[in-house]
Amino acid sequence: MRATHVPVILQQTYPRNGPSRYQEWFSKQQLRNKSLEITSLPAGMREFVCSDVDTITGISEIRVEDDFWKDPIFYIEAKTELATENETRIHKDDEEELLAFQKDIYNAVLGSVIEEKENLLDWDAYIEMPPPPRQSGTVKVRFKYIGRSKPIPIEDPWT
Amino acid sequence: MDYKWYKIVDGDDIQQGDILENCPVFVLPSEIHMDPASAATKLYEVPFENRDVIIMSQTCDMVKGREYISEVLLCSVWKRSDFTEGLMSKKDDWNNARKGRLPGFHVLNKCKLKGFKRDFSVVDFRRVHSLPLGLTREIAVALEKRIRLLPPYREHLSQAFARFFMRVGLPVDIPEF
Repeated sequence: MRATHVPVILQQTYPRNGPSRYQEWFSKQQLRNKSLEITSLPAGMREFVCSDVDTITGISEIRVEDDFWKDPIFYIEAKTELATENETRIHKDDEEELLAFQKDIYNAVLGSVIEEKENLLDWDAYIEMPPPPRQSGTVKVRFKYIGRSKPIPIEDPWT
Repeated sequence: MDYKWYKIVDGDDIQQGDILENCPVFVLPSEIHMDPASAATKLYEVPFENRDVIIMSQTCDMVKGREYISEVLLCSVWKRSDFTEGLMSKKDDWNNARKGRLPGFHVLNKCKLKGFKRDFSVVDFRRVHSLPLGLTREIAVALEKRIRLLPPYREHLSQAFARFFMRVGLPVDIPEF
């Protein structure tokens, strides 16, 4: 039996760039549901889901007052436990399984944030059809060739 | 502290960040042949559009009597209300542009100055134009009054344009770790 702690920083509750109270609540609910989902697996189902992890305990919130922002910072600590040390595992060793489980929790809680970091910049965004002009028209012109242009003479600042 | 985005100016002393509303932009048709021998004999019809543009050239290059450029660089500016479909017609697009995720665009704040109220607008770095310096001064004078983007928002715009213009795309990127 082994336990590990997965501290999940749920939010920096800075009003300037942190998630809203609702997002905070929603993320916590997601994590709790994940916990329920795992703990409610019936006996014998572990082989089916290819997982040795069958319990998760101690979802706890830690509230830290930030001196500078005067706002609380929320942490959620999820303690995960491997229930067995037998050979029920199929593909992965314990470490890998645990890491995968941790990643799962992170995705459940911070999935949208991780996704947001990908493709952060869209360099190719382009307005294909510009808005119609308010006024437009044509001018009749006759081009006059005046030869090759010359650069504007500039005083050399180094002399 | 109140850092204003705009102020109202007039006259022909143009600066980077000046917004020229309804500025004529000439769109040369692709079928025009600039053959020196025949250009002077043929009459062409050249279409133009009136667009809102913002001056991107450096102010120090346009000082009267000390001009270091003969053409002024301008970028199209679209108002938020100009878009009814496509990119920038959705709130998400504006938020992405505001956060700098669309490097081809730069969002300008709304203007609340009396007589010059403007919606949020976006500078389109992909639509650049140039006009002779003298003509740009004349257009500015003809407008009587115009709004000028103030520092540090002006420098922020200039930096965004530089970042977009100097972009480098790698043919072979480093794979994800």
